[in-house]
Amino acid sequence: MDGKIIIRGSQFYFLTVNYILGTTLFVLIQSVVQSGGRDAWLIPLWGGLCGVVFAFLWIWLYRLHPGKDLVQISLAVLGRPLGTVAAVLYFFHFVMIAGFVLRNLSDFLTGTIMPQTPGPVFHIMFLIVAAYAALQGVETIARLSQLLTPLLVFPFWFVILLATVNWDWVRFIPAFQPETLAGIFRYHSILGYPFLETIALFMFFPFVGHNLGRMMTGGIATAAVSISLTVFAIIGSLGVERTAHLNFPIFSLVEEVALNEVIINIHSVISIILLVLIFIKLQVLIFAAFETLRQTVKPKLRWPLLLGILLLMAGAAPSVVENSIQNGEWTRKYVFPYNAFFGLAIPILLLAVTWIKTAAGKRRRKGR
Amino acid sequence: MIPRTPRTRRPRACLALALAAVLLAGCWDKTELNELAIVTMIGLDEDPETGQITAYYQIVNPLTSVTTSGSAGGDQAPVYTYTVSGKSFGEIRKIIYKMLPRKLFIAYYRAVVVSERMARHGMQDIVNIIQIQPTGRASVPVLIAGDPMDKIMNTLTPLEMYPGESVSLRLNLLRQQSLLVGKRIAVRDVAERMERSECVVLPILETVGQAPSPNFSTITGTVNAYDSNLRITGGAVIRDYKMVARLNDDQLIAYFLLLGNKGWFTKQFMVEGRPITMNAKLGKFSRKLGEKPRIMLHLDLAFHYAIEYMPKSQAELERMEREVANKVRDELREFCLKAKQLGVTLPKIQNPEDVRIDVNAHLEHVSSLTRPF
Amino acid sequence: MLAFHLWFILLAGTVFVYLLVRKLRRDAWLFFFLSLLSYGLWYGISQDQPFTITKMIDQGIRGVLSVFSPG
Repeated sequence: MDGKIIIRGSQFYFLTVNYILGTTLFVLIQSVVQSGGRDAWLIPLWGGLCGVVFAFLWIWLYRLHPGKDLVQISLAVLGRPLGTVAAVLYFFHFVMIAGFVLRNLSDFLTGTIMPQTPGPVFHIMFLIVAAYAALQGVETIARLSQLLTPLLVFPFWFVILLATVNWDWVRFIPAFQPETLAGIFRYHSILGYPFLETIALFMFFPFVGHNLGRMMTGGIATAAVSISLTVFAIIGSLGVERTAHLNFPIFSLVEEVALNEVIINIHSVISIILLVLIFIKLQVLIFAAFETLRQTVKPKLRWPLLLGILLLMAGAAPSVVENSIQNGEWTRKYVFPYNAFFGLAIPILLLAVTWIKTAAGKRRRKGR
Repeated sequence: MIPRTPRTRRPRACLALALAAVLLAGCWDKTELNELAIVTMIGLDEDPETGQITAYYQIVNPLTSVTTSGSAGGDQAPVYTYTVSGKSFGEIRKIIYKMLPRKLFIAYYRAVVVSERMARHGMQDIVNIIQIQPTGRASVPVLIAGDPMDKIMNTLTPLEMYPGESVSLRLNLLRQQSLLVGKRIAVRDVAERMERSECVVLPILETVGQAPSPNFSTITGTVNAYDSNLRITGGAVIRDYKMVARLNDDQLIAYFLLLGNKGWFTKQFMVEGRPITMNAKLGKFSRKLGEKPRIMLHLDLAFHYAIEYMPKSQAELERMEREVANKVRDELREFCLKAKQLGVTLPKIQNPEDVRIDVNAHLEHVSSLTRPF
Repeated sequence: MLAFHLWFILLAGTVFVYLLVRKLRRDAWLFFFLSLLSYGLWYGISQDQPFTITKMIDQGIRGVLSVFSPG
């Protein structure tokens, strides 16, 4: 893993889109509609705009240290002891995100179609499959995401299109009222989840070519527009009043889709698509966590480290939140500051120290 | 881990396949088809004095099957109705398996019937209990029972074996061919309209002939479809989760026209002293909201059943079109004036009495006769 | 309780001992560190009382803030 360019730009673009979409399509929608009401579809758009700005920060940092990923930059800039601390912090951050992803997944599946299955069963099985793919390396992850994207996009939007038979423009009137617009900008947790979690993709930067900036910002923008369109479709097909009361609006939306009163259970298609998106996000996180520790500690064998990470992630998933109510409180209060620490504070620190070091170096050279 | 040599290929492949079997997490949640009690219709009743809730589950009898040679099950009823009473929906769920030998599966139900006294008392619990279940599809139509619940839920229907299916098919036909049933009659529409402080009009279900029904073989052996059957009549106006009024056929047609529903309706008009049966459908529908609301309707007329008389000249036809349009406008106006009293609301219009209605009619469809005999 | 300890120690212990025997000390201690953390989390899960991480972070942040805020 010495930064050879082995991912094409387009593969990284799809990876970014699928990573951000990850769990948002069934976790985020309910709270977004509750805050934003009829104009809730604007929330992912402004969140995505900020997400692009955050990405500029990371790409700038990367350009100052070309060929190095987050961990290597920390070690180079902060030195061995502090850099290791930063790397370990990032490791725990990636494990936490993975815990959230797995927990959201098992809550969704046990809440809708498989109520008797214990949560850890889902966690462990998803981890085994995702880890197997992540173990094959960056190229596999990127190529897999690229191959799966058309299989995800077309069925998903096809089913949403089928559900629009219940569309009613009245559900959007009156639009752009000042109270709802205020609520939209108050919803700052959109910045933390999902747009600051993209820091995990920093571990892939050394493998992408020169169009990294364009691909990443394009991916973030595409994901933001996709989420916004999904929210828009849900408001138009379900209405704000119902969405605010439903736990999984997108599941309820497709559950009510009936083709000619004969095919009534098409919601299984949506569930499969959402699961595949989660695999992709999980692969990225497993790879990121794995690489973080591998580059810090440099063990000789790979599989024991992977096994340890899987154990930790499987243990983190049931532990990360107590229930969906506490999850909601955590999201409202802490998601943005918590993710900002890892996604903004530390990279800004690294940037600042880089400048100071470069400036000091220049002064030293001038002084000679 | 395991060396990658051609010799270890088969054991490695077997190991990979065995590990993949780990992905089959169906152990806990698997249910075989013959373990399910498939519900086709649900009935709900609440005694307002005691608060006792009674749920009726009409469950498919798997031993009767429809074959091309006719009903094969002989004397077996196509559905069984299980009646469960309890103080709450939770208690009903708790005790239903004292009688029911299979797991209740409501995802394929075709209709929810609510007793009138429960509808007048409040339907909020029904919406909640259906939406809270992951398999409770909120797209199922709701009907109000015009007769006692135990009679309705124990009545079989001829021609269409499952009463729930029969009711559901009739709702579609009434909506498209008679404009007596609206588009928005599902649980989700009730929830949405109530949350928006609007009204929703649900169809009313009654029994005809013998109720509860006699044996299935008696029903299939008789010619008269009215010996024992269900009938959809009238409309129930629901406001604030409570039933407040009933609408008759003419009022229903007026209401759905004002909503802009596109279905055929039939009316006999007196045109120049002569009766003529016209089929009509909304061709164009537009509204202007705001201070002075206006509703503009353009009706497409058809001579599908006009056997009494047909106009012979263009002038006659235009006079007829104008008279029909005026009659429809007057009826709609009358309905609007009574709207508040009936509890009916029009979407996004504050006062239905203030609405100005414009109707024009145009002959669009002729029939096979140019002139009646 | 017993079942949990059984599978956990079998799994983690075997790998740990294997790494020590192969004289890969770095790997062994890295794995030990990860297993220790996992043990803490999995112990809570086995007792049906998972140790909630976000609650701990919440308490930590409130604790830190209370040190800095007056009164």
